[in-house]
Amino acid sequence: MSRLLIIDDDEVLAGLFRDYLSAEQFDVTIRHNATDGLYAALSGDYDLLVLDVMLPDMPGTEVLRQLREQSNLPVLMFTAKGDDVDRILGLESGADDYVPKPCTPRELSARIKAILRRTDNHPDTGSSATIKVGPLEICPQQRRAVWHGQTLDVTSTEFSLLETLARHAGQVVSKNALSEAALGRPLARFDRSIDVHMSSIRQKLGRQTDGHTYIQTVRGKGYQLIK
Amino acid sequence: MSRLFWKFFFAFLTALLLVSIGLGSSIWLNQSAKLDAINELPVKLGRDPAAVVSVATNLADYGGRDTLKQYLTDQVSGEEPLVYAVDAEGNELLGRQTDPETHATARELIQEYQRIRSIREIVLDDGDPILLFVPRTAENAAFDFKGKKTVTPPLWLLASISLLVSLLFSGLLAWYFTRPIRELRQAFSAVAAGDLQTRVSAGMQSRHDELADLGQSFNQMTEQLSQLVNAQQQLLHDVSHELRSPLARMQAAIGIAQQRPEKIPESLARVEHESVRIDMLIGDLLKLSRLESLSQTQSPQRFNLLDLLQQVVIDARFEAERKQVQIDFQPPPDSLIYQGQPELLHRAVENVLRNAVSFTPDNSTIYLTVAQSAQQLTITIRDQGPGVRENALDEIFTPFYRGTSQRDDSTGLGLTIASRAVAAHQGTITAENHPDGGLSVTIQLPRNQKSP
Repeated sequence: MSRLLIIDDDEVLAGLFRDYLSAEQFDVTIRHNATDGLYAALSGDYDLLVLDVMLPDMPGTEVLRQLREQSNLPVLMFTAKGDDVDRILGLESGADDYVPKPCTPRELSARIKAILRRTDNHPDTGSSATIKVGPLEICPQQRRAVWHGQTLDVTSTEFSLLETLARHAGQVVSKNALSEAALGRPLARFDRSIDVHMSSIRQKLGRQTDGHTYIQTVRGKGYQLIK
Repeated sequence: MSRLFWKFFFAFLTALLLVSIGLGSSIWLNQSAKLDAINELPVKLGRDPAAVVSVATNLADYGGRDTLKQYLTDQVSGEEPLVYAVDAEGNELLGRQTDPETHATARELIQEYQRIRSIREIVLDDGDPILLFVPRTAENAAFDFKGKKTVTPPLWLLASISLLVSLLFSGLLAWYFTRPIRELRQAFSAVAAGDLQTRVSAGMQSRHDELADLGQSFNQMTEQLSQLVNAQQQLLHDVSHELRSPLARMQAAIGIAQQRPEKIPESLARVEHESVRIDMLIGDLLKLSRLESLSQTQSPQRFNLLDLLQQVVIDARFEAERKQVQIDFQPPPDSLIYQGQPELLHRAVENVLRNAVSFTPDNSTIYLTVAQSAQQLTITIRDQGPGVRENALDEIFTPFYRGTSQRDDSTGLGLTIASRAVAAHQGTITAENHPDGGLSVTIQLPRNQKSP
């Protein structure tokens, strides 16, 4: 049974979601403000955090930023529908995915499951042997990425993206394939999620000595990890 | 270049050209009139007469009467102007006929113009005073005074210089007047295209004229417009956000009903509740927008404010009874006649009172007091609730302000409606935390409103 933490100041809505998700075999805990929520999220008792972007005491993006300093707990962000700024900000602060609010509980549940599927052991996605591409090592079993001999601090979504790129190193992987692999859903139109995650990964990898990035954008097609 | 520029340009150019032509010709006329007057004189003036008179003077100084006489005699056969020498008795040295009036005029001219060189009065070595001059006679007709010998540039040069100068000045003037107008026009089109941040430049405001005033008014206009539009956009943003939360709950409730049919009654109740909330929100929004139009269209009327307050209190008591809340209102004995819009004030007081009812704890009392002075009426409503953070006391009147508490029965617009209604009466609404606890909201209404 996966343990979920929901941080949302709308008590009624959070209660309704708990009602629905409990029936879907989730163990749901609710916090109504950022301070309590952050404390709970850092306890290590949860498998996934559902975070509302608007909280009375602190913006959700700020909660996420503070959380990311210490933890790679998968985070699903509630954003206001049509508010692209919130969405991009959320993804940039390290959210694994977002759900526009209002959303149906079925959609919420599907997104949660998609993230958890990736995070949990998933023997179905290729071999568990360590993949090596240049200075990058991917250990699928432990979901650990090593960069120049050091463990790379990546979120779950970022790891999945890196893993997918590493498995196809030297080839162009389409954004849609990346979205399917890392977010568990096809890419929606005008969806910039993959680009935002990619930009975050690139920042963590830095640049090659010749100034090129390790991951290259192939305009209109997708991304490619340089071999 | 704009059409206005050319209009100004040609207007200035025509004016300048006309003025220069007029001035030029009047100077020329004046000059020639002077010349004519000089040439009318019985003695000749000018360079040529001055030269021969000066020669005669020198000869007389040098050789005396005989030499002078010799010179005058020699002159007759020459081409120079003929100098006449007249003694004190009026006799010419060579015995030529002269008019005594001419002598008199010549002497007057010497008196008048000390430095005149065409006429001289000298004293011969024998003590005889002699007047030397060139009379206006037939032989001397060729030696008219032609004015001062200056280098007069040709007419075409003068004309083209004045044309050039006129062009330059007209251009500068036209530019000076049309530049701010053009800038304003560009600013207007920018605003029309939707850029409300447009301001006319500070350079235009340093002019200190009507155009600068116009620019300043323009800046004020865009400032107010952008504030208005921003407020509207903010409201729209807030409204969509506020509508979202009941919608999200409805969707969640529907999801639960689909997931577990045994939960359908519960979910339906939730859906109903949320739909009522949406209805309330939209109702309040309409009230808010109607408020603006009401305050602009309805003319104020005289009414008794006490009746209005009593009506509001009766309505609110109905709601308050559910919480066992008392509303304490001791109306003063005299009626309070006020000129204003009763519908708006009713909403203002009603919303403040309902806010108090929902925040005050069960079994408590709300105090409503009213006081009047010559200048204003003061209505105070005080609850016994938790009050508001000191730094949020102003914010509670902004749309959708939410304190720390979550309230299901509020749209977040009540106090906004109240404050707008009071503002329509040029009154003020303020909130403060009462020293004995609870929030105290004060509405002050001026008795003599300035007409907006």
